[in-house]
Amino acid sequence: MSGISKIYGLGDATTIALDDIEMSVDKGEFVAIMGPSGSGKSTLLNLIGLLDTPTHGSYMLNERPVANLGNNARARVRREQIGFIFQSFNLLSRMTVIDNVALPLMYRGVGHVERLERASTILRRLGLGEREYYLPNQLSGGQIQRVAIARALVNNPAIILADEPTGNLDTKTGLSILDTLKDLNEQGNTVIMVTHDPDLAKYAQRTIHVVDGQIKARHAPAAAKPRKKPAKKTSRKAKT
Amino acid sequence: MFVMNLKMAINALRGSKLRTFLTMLGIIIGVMSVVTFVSFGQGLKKQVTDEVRSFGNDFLQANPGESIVRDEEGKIESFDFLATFTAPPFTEKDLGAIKKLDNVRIATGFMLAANEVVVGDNEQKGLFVMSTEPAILEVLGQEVADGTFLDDKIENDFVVVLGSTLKQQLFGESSALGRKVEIKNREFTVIGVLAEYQSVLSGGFGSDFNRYAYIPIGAGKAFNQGVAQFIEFDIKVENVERIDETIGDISQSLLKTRGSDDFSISKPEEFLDTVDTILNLLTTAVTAIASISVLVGGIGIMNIMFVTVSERTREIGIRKAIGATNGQILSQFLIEAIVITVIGAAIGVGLSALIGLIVELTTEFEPSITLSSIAIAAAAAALFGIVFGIVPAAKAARKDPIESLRHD
Repeated sequence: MSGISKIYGLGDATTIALDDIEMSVDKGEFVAIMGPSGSGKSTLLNLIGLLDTPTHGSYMLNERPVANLGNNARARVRREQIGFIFQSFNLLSRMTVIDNVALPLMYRGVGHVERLERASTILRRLGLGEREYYLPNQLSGGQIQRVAIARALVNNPAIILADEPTGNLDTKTGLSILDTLKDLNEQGNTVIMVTHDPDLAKYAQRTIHVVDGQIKARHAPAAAKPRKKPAKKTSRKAKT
Repeated sequence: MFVMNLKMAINALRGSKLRTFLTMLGIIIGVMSVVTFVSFGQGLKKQVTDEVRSFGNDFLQANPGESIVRDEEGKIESFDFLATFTAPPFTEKDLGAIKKLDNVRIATGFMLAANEVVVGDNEQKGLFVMSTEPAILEVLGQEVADGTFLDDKIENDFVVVLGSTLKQQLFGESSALGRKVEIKNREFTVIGVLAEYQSVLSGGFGSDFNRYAYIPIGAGKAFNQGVAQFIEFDIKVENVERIDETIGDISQSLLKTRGSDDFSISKPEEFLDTVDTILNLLTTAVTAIASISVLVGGIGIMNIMFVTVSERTREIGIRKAIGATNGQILSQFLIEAIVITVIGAAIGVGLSALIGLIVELTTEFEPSITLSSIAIAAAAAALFGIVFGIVPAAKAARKDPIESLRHD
């Protein structure tokens, strides 16, 4: 991601939400994005997740430029490469757990039986095999968020984007969700998580601080240090 | 994808049953009235056609006066019934000449002798007493229920045969045979009663065949200074293939005996075109009015779809975040609208069939629901679903995912 800016409004009444962001994330990393509210971290997450387009700058995802794609092209990239986990879970309340998890596959055109098989596999991996035909409101908060994680995983995304995934959960449940994310990361998934809680950020290999639309500093555990090459978007980088 | 959309649509609609039903109600009522009116029109047309055909394709009718106005192609354009009564009536000489023509199997005529029949204080008015020949029975396709019909041997007797309704009105359940009735102050003896005659034409167009009375030609002439004045000749031909040739012969014969061309000859088939035109026009007009209610129902659906889309903004945001394209969101909501209209139309057709059945069981009228009217209703419903669903669905598809996810 290079020279990324996001400017809202027109003429004099513009707000610069993100200002010349340079960042890159490698395949298999667990990155935390931290910052106070209004810092632009959510905007950054929306850009990474291709829900939004930057005003300026370039964005390479799996060596493919994606900064200026149209609505439908972005939707296709989202369903193939991005898995979202939201603070408020965002499951469809009228659908069963397994249908919720299988939904991204439906939009990819995967057949009915295969959809359910793949959703079922993931749910069992997350310990929810018994809950497949429950409705979301019959589950606890932690279970719901794990269903959401299953939905994010079902299409084998390049990046899992988690926006305050523990924000609506009690501490204990929140930690178990983070353990799940950590497990997934250790299995090779790339995870980018937005949080404002430094304790949770510790689960990540490195943390990106966003303040007033700019990246302030990067902390990374010693092992991850050699990877920090922010301004570059070389072909070796898997994403961003 | 389509099946999944369909399943989702049904799920969404089941989620708010009352609202879905109320939304459908407009379409249900609209489709029900359209299909019902069309089926009534079709039923009436079929019955009129059958009845006209029942006179047989060997049947011809001649009337004095230019009562039938034809266009250049010889098709019936309009009728001038008054002409029949103002022109000089047919005579026995006219009839005699026609009877001798080749290919004419039966030729008979009738005069209107009176329009009331009296038994004591019981005066039955507004009916037709026809002075005619025995052959009229076969021409009209009627049957005798009791006693006998007119006979050549009693041509000059004062006897009468009563229609079934008229007999009921005069004598009730008791036997009418041998009883006396008064027609134009002359005493007539009842010799027969006709079986009930089922007809939409009779009654429907002002003349109930079951209230007719038939008296011999001689009796009719007695009321008319001994002269027969026929207002109609009814003719049956031997060979149907030569019917047009026979029409020409009759025309020539009448021209010769009357010395003028002020008469009309027609086949019942010819009337069908005219009846068809009138009934089609009527059905179309009523259907057009009923269609307005379908339109109103469709607008109701559009309204509810707008509400649904705005209520489910967050759902739309979620679906977009996990990769639904605008087209996929559009088709989801469009299918939902189509499901409402198609189910509504199906219920409407069902209710219409029920109404048809009730009418069929309680009256002599048979509405006919044709496959084509059902197909048209279904196609129209799907079309209305698309027309009224597309704008709300497009609104859903255009929603911004970030905004939508923030919505609650």
